[in-house]
Formats: sequence, structure tokens, C-alpha cells
Amino acid sequence: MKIDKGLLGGSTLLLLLSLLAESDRYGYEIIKELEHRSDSTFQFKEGTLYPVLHKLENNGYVRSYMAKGDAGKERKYYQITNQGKKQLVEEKKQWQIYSMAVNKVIGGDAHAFA
Amino acid sequence: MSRSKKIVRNLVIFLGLCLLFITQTALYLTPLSAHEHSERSLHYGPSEVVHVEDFDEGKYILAKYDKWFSCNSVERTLGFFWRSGGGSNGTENDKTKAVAFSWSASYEHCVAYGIINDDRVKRIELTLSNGQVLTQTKFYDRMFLILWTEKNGNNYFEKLIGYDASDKVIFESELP
Amino acid sequence: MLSPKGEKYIEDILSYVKFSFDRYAIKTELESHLLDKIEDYTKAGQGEDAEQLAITDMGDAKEIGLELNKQHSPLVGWLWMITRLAVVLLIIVDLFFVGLPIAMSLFDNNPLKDIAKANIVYNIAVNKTVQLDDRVINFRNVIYERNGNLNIIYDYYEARFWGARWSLGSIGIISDNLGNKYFAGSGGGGEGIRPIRRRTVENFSNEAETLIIDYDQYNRKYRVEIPLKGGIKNE
Repeated sequence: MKIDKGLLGGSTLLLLLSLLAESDRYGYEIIKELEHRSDSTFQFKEGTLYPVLHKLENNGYVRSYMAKGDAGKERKYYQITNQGKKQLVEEKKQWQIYSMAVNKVIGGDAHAFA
Repeated sequence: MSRSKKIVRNLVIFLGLCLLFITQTALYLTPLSAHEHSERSLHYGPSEVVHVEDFDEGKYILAKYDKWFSCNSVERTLGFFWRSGGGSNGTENDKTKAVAFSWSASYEHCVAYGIINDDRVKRIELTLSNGQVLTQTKFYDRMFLILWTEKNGNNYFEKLIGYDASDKVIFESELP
Repeated sequence: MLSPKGEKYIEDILSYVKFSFDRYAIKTELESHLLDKIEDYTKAGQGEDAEQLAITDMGDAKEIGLELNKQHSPLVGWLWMITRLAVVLLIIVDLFFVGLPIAMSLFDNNPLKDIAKANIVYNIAVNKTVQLDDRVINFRNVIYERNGNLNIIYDYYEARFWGARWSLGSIGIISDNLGNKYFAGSGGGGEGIRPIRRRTVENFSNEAETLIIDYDQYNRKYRVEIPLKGGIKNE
């Protein structure tokens, strides 16, 4: 199944901040990681990731820097800030509340997500 | 740090640097504050400003303080700042003379100024070394100042005469 | 390297970004994305189509460009650049007008160097403080020399943070308890934030027991009396 919702819909912030909380990453790396972990469930126009990343930077959730990766190519890396970490905790909470609510409605086992 | 935060940070730093500049240099935003600070740092005054007159580099400030009189100059500098051009210290008013005066020169800008002790004096006439005669009939609280420029090195103070209403010489001096 | 087609695609996106100073950074970022993707397609065997596939994956140039433009506001960009420039300029100005004088005062003349040690008859530590308006003057030492020179060593500083000042002119009239007044002499020393200065008078009486410094100008007065006995005789 493939979901195409502009970028990633309401969970964009949660997904991006989660990935960046693990390690600093550059744009294409983020896309590959999303694709890999979601078994290609999330598909979107890759170019639309960049306005979102730049928005996160404007909001102060991430900062960026230029660095050479493993292949020796100069790339723009994104790093989560303290403000971004706080936001991530908030997003996770909301996601849990949301998914529990959805599960209750559809009659699933809410405790599995708690 | 996002750009809008950087803008705020830059503005704060900018204001701090402005404050540092304004407080730590001898430059002031108004001619009178330059004048007052220069008097205080020369341990004179605070004087009572009698008259302010423009000249092409700034202003002359004619002032009285207790038994002294002075003519400070403040100059425009770096566009919108003012600094003291020197001369804020006073000369003691010798009341035995009909006119007590002094004169000074800074580059080509010369000024003669003084205070009139004898109220009969209605006109001040200044003769320069090149023969030029400058006249002043307008006084400011019994004080006067006469400006001239010195260009060829032959244009200095020579003689000051005070006349009464009927052109009689009341006072004449070649030296302050 | 991208082909002209890839270049054009990126230029298309950039054409929507109004704040031109950010275009270069965006261009580099998007380019490296496309090149990575092309490399992956090439490895997967899509030789000639690799670039076109990468571009298609990237999405519509106009859509991306318009979204990027929202995040690169020219107003914010200009304000940021202007305030940054203003700060840099003011730092330079402050370094010149404020920093330099402070730095210079580190290399101030020490007037004690003017006095040859061998000539010193005695040196009295004084430590008396007077104030003139906002200026605090501290008399530190009185040094008497064999040739009759009496050196008064003093420093001064501004008690108030606000405003730069003229250096101190005269410290007052120098006399002694015998009624002698001393005018001939010299002065010297630093010019900085808290300069150490020297006032020297010549032919000072070796019989005087008190040095008197009398300041009385423009309604400001102080009088400092310094006992001269008890100096360290080094002969």
C-alpha cells in the first residue's frame, strides 16, 4: 500500500524530528531512511522535503551545516536543536493520544500502543 | 538559530555596541551635551548659555559662569555626532574694564568674544591686522562675539574698540 | 555533473525563490540530491534514463519553488543581512574608537622610569585621594632627588562610566610649609584610562617639612598636605 499525502500529512514533524534525533542527516539520506523503514509506504515528491526542512530550520527545530560525508561529498546536514527535541516529545505524546483514539473507535486494542 | 532570531540578536548587539560607542567616546548626539560634558571634564561650569552661533564646522556657544565668560566651540563629526572643539574654559571678567574680551583661533576659524561692563558701549568694532574692520551692534545679555576667517596668515586680531551711542570711544585695547 | 536538462530543472525551481542570496545554497543542496539519486538509478542499471527518473521523483519545479520561496522571505533575508552588516561595521568602529584607546593605555608611559634610581634621596608612599567633578585623583608617591627635583606621582580615573574626558591639566599650585611656591618644572606620564602621571618641580627646599598642593580654579578646591619627614634616606 502506498500513501501519498503531499508530504507525510500530519505526522511529518514527528517523523522528521525522530530521524534527526538519532543522528544528523542530509536530505537524500532522510528520504532513503523513510522509504527503507516504512517499506516504501511513504511516497512523496522528494523535492517537497526541502521546503519542509527549511521551515523546521526557520522554526528553530533544526540547524544545518555543511560537511563531507563518507563518500567525501560536501552535503548540507541537518541537526536537531534542543527546541526540536522538546517539540519531538510533544509530537510523540500527541501521536499516542491520536492513535489510541483511532484504535478505540475502530475497536482495536488501544493498550498495544500505550 | 533561525533568521528571525538572528535579526533580534543582531539588533540587541547593535544597540549594545551603540551604547558602548556613545558612552565611551567624546562624541555626543547634540551640540549642547558635547558642550556640557567638555566643560565638566575640564572642571569648569556648568555655564549659562547666552547665545549659540553657527559657523561652517559647527557652533560657537557663548556662555557665562559665575565671574567667568567663555566661548566654546562644538563641531560636527562623523555625520551626526558632535564633539567639543576646545575653548570651554572661561576668562575672568575684569569689571574694571568697560569691555572684557578674549579671542581665539582654530585653524582658519577665528572668534573674538567678550562681555560689556559699561552699558554706555553700544557698538563694538574689531580691526584685523590686514586692516579689515568688523562691527557688532547686537549683544546677547551684554555679551558679543565676532567671527572671521584667517586665510593668508595676515588676518589676526589687532584692536578692539567700544563706542557709545554718539560714536565716542569708551574702550580701546590691542590686547585682551 | 548534471546535464543541461538537470541544470534547467534546478534553475526553474530557483526562479521562484525571490531572495537571490539564498539561491546558491538551495542550488547546491538540490544538485547533490539529484546526483545521489542518479547514482543510485545508474547502479540499478538505468543508464540513460537515470537523470529523467531522478527529476520525476523530485516533483514539480513550480510547486517546490513556490514552497521554498515561502521559507526564504526576502524581507527577513534583507533584515538579517543588513543587521549583520551593521553589527560588523559597528564592531570595527568600536574597536577603533573604544578598543584602541584601551589597548594603548596598556602601553602607557610609566613616569617612574623618568627618575634615575641612583638619584633618589627618598620616596614617600602617600595614598591621598581627592575628587574634581567626576575625576578621582590619587596621589601615590613623592620622590625627592639629589638635584632638588621633587616628583609628585599621581594617577586619576573617571568615577562615572559615561563619556570620555579631557586629560587633567594642572593638579594645582605646589608650595611648602616655608612659604615657597614652585612653578618651574615638568610633567609627564600616561594618557590612558587610568594614567599614572608625574609633576616635577625644581629646586625644592630640602628643609621643607610639608608639601602643599593647592587647587583653586573655577570654584573647585582641594588642598593636600604631605609630610616630607620619614622619607627613606638612601645615603
